[in-house]
Amino acid sequence: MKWEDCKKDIDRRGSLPEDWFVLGIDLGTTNSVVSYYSPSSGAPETIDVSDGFGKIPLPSVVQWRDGGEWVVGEEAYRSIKLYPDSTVRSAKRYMGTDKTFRLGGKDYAPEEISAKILEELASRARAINPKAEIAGLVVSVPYGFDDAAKKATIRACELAGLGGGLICLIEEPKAAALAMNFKRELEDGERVLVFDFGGGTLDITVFSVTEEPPGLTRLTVISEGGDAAHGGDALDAILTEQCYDWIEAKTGQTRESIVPENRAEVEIRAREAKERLSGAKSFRVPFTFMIPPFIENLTRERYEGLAAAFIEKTRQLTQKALRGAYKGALAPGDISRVLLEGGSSAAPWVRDMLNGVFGDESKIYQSERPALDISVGAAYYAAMKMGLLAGREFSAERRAVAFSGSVPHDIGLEVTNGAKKVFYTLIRRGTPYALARKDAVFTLSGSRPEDMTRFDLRVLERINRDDPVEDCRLIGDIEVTGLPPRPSGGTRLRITLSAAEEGGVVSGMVEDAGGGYKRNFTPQRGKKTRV
Amino acid sequence: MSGFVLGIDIGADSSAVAYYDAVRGEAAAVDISGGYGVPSSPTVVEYANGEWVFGEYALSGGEDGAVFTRLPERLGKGEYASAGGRPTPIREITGEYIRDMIAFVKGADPKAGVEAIVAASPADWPAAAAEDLRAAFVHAGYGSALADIRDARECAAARLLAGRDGQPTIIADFGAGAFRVGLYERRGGFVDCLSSVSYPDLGADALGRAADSFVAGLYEKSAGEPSARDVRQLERFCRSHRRLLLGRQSAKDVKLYVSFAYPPFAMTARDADIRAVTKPFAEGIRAAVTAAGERAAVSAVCLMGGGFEYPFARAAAAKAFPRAELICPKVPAVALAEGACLIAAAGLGLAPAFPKLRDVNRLSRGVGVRVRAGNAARFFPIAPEGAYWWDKFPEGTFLLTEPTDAPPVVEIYSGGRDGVKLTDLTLTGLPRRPAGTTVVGVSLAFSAADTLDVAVRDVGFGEQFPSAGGSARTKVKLETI
Repeated sequence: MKWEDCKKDIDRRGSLPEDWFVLGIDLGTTNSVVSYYSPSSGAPETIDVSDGFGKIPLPSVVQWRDGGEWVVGEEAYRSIKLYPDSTVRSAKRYMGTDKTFRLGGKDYAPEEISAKILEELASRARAINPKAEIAGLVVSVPYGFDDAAKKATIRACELAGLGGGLICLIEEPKAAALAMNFKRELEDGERVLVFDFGGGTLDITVFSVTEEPPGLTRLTVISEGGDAAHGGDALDAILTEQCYDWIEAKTGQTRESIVPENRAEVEIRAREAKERLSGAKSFRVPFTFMIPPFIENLTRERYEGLAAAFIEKTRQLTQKALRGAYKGALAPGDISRVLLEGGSSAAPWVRDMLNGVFGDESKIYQSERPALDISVGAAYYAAMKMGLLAGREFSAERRAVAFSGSVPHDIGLEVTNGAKKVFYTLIRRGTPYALARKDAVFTLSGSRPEDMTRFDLRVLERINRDDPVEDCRLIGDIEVTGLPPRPSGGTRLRITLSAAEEGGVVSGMVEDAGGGYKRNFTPQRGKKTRV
Repeated sequence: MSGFVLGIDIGADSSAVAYYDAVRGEAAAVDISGGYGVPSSPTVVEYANGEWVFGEYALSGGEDGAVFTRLPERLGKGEYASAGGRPTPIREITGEYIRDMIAFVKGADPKAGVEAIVAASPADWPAAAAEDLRAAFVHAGYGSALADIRDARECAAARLLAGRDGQPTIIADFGAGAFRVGLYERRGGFVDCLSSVSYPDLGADALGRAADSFVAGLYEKSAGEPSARDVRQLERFCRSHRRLLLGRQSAKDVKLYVSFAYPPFAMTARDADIRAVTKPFAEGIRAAVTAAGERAAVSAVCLMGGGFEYPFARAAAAKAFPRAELICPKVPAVALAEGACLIAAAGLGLAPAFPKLRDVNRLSRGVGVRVRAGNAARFFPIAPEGAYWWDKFPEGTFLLTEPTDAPPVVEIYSGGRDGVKLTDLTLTGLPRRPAGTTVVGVSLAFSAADTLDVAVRDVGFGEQFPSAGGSARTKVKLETI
């Protein structure tokens, strides 16, 4: 079934069937959140998965224990010190890479770890209504996620047993903007910069808001930036290093000589210090687990000094996102609102830095529920796709919202130009998804007969505009076979690449310009797709 | 409307703030927890190294800061506390906390000001405490925005009783300091409070202490007495695991991981033992809710207060009136702030006007004894004005200046100078005694809202004129109290 079919089914029934769940999941690096669309309130409701710990989000922590028991979330986080070698945190950072986690003698891919988190979130949702099926699921991903990471996210959903319903991805800033629109109306002509600073990633996205036709709020991505590996975890790492320096100075022990459970405790203390310094100007970090025990005072000033390079990079990424707008650079004055999202945006230096860039404190908006917005926005998106928001009685709310998203990175092919390999751009960053279907014709040549019947195609994604081909990310290798045998230079092939509007997943097609041969493909990182 | 319309509930244990969402026409609580995703924050303030720290950050503070808790209970008493060596009034500390709470809200729209605030206060709060709270708002810079301080019951009714006209409804508030339960009914432009009782021993604090003691016991069984170094860590551990024990969704054992110990270890809280901790509270809640509505056709039981985030407490309250509808807001801890916010919005004409609370069970005039001395008569209240009819009133004793030649008559009045005589009670069977040697005790008790039981007895006068045991009693039917 497709989203459109669901929408028709709901139209026919007149309401969302009671046994259908429509979910939005924020699969975060540090914490994950699940919301469901509540037909009674006409809005998403966040599901409290805190297990009584007073924090709604579920820590994105997965633990394997002897006997094959998997523990996910708060309990896994709380017991890191007891199971330091079999606990995985921040698996999202490695989505779409070859990284594996060895647990219980077996290697697990990042998507398999993420699947455990999704399973846990889905089980909490099902507990609300055990008879309900998950009919539609929207999972958020960072704007800067490459194709492999997006496909790994979808794979994680399938591994979690969520493949029975509809799955789609939404970029996190889009979800945040959507949640904000429903909470506080965006106005025609505004340019909103969403600064989504999470545990693993920084997404900076600028939306232009238009109302056309009247009554329809259109959010168009006009710039995006950030860094998929620039998040709060990096600050934890900086503070962890500082903690090891203190430990060495006070006890003479080095990182390597400390037992694993105490290394886990050092990381917890570093994170605790970072969080505490969001609300206080100093924190006495207790190292009571060391022998001899000691306490070190860490001031916010000192912490920001340690993180100076990181903070400077954040500033540069913000300015770069303004400069790199698709249709010409934006000045800070062109931005009407800056919306802070993500747990790491609570740090005071973030606001100070943005005040410095934009020169106007009154532009900086902090969400009323920064920890929950992405998941709420994802659930709104799922509800929109099912047509559940149309015709609601909340007449004061702008329920008709459309996105004009754009492809965040250049997408193209590796081609040989003489002896040199180069990146051939097919879809440029900033291309609206509606137009993200581009083709090019290549002439096949070779000295051997098999050079004309088969060839290898390498689909790449260029994250930064100036990256050489070696630094481009591999979307997938395609082996094209079964071409008609012709003399060298006698075959002209049309290669088409497209990026789907929902999450930007890349697919393609190879077509013989002479007719007859036509194959579709979906490149997969890590395995060669044969067509 | 260009500014925020706010409702604020500063509770003894945790606080919440809600703003009026004009788009949806409802009160919406704000996440003031600093990213924990929950819309309430501990009412804890710390002063350390020359700065104020609030909520969760204060709770997880260092060893050497001055920590201030239970602020609302300390208002109105002229109390000062030392903050960095400076004697600081509690109202100022409360003001710092209020300023921080409102800063969270303003982050959502930095261009907007604060249009109006209604703060919830405990029922029967002393006037001095309310004055201190006003001063706290002034200190925070929001003195002019504070529109009113309203009785918490009124805020609760505003949040929970909309659309329930003519339906007797129980509101149970499981707050930190006490478990409060009352019966309410919307009628004739008022919300009548038909009963309201407070049970301090059933408060969430008492429950938390029981849970802490249980966890500390488990720790001692596993690791022995905590060292001086670990005592504070254990206290924090117990507090942070309260919710884990009490808020569990299913009846199963709970594992606790003691990471602060060396070596770290796990301990198991068995389901039966956790039940033993919660059982007296579950039984108490059920009994209290049952008592609140036993004479009425209760249509719904509404739950609010942080304690009702625990499933066992919700289940216990539901058992009191299984046929009544159970209404529990998604976050019961913020219902008061939301109600206060709705009252503020109604005051500005943004939300439907909400009927005022009427304490139909409070005595509009004192009830007591009128004693004659010569030509003058003086009224001595036994049940004072403003008391609830179900309150217990201490016995009043009166020295009779007349000899007991004739049986003394005790006149029971409602109200002082312009009071109404309710009844005369004649104390017969007294032996003859000289003037000024007879003391009578007068007891008043309401067996129902409209029925006053009056009892008079001979108390005696020293060893020389002991009580002869004479007494008299009667019932008075009242039209109104």
